[in-house]
Amino acid sequence: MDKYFPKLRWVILILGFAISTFGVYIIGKRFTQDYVPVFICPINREGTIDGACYKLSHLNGLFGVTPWVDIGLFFLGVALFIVIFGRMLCGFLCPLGFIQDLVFKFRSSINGSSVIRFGSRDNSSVNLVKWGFLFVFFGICAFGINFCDLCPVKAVTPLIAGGKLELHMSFFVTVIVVVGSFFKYRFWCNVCPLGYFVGVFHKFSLFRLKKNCQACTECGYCYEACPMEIKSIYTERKKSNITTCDCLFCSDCIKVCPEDQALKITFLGKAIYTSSREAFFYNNSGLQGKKDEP
Amino acid sequence: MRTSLNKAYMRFRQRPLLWIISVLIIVAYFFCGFFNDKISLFPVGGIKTRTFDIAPNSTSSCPNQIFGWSFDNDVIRLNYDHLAINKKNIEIFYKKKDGSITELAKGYSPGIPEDSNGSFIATTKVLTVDVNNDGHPEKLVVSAKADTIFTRKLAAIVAGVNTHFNDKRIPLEVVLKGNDKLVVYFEQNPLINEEVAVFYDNYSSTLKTDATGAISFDNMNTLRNTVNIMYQHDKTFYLTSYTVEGHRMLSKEHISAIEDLAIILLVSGVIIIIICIFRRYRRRIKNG
Repeated sequence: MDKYFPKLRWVILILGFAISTFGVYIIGKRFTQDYVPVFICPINREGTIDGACYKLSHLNGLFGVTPWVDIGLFFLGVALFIVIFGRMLCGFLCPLGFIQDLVFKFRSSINGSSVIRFGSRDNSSVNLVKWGFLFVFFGICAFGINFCDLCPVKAVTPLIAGGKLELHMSFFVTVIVVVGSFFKYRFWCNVCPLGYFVGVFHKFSLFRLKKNCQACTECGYCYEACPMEIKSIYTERKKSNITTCDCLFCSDCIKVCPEDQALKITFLGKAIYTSSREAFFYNNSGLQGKKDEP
Repeated sequence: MRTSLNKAYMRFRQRPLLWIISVLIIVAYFFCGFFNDKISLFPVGGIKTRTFDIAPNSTSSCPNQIFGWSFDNDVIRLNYDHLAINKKNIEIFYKKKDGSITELAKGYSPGIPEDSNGSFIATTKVLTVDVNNDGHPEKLVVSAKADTIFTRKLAAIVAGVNTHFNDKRIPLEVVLKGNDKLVVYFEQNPLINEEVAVFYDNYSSTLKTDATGAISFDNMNTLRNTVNIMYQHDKTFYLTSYTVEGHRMLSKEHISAIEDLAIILLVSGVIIIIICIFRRYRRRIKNG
């Protein structure tokens, strides 16, 4: 399992993208419940599932029209997804996350120029942008500016499924996201308002990123690999639960961790992906796809 | 003042890309205000870019369809069985965004009115056809309904968009409920716990409506290819067809949408190349 977890993540990402973008073509089914708190554009009518993004960013419309029972059910559904999956949805299901991963993979495959890291100093300005997006996402719709006009997902999934839309600023933001993703892994996730909203409730999430501080040698590989540049992964020396609101559960930190049992992702306390020397050498020495020597 | 400007310049030199992106996002925010009054969630050009067409059903997507809609890129086409139906007797109604119903001008103006919410229904005079093959002709009342992608997008944005025509001229009507149920209305009331014949493609069956007058569909693609529902009441047969428009793979609209995505990727690619050249040049200057 440990060897194949990163591959499993890719399989789920691809399936999630296919289902959320043109699931009706594939399985003919479309669900009306939009509880999943990720950017899956509901304007695309070919997706099997919709994201909760539209309703969350148009709360004025939700409270004005929808019956109270439906509003309660909606928030209950969203809360359930947040508690069960947390930001794992960003790492495993988000269509924009998949696009960003693809762009970054493309950069790696052509041996592109060096990766940009924000660093602790620039992280403060990145946080400002994140708060700005959060303000637009939750508040500005009431004052006339619609987050959908900015949303980069609107310029990806509906277009791929066949719906030609007027893109306006989405075009502009999508270009920034694609360019940014080329130089920085999961560029948009650093400022994503919905991801941040989900991450705020990380303490309730059943998925956790845990660290065995005794096993950790502070090599810093995990920090180097982390797309969100979470410093506490390697600086934390006391707590075992190192899940933060930024953690996407992308598992890149575990993939590069050379120590047995130093980092692990758990579900209800049970480890589902643990760092190990064997997996470290397997993932980082080009052994993938080769059979084990007897 | 000069010192702070110098500091700002130094910070820009240290992280130029980050600052450029930050400024671009602020510019995006600024321009966002100019576009917010436009409805950017509908296909480009709006519904008025579509046209109507009425054609004999040789091009029909469903072989057992005597009266039904199909979608061919920008053309919304009503297919009819020319042996049974006279084109002159066809009436087309559309539902306005305010919920009222209007008949399309006779002569079938090819353009679709802008005030339409994207739902259309066509009716014709009562036909006399041997429906049950007993050697005696029966009365057959036919209608055909279509919900275009515009209706469905409107439904996605505005909760409670009503596509129910609820008109005396349309005795049998189906209304899409959610994404997998059709509510059958007969004479403006839901047809509760009644048997209706359902047929599409090579499928034919008799289904019983539930307590809300609904029948369920497992596959949304069924509705894309037109579903026919027949109900018998007082020796008269009522037949209605229902078609839901969806995006079609590699259609003209799909290719046009992909072109937009290609432009985004092209612009991004050019910017990436410029940034890479700039970074390489900067590195070369740094290394002397």
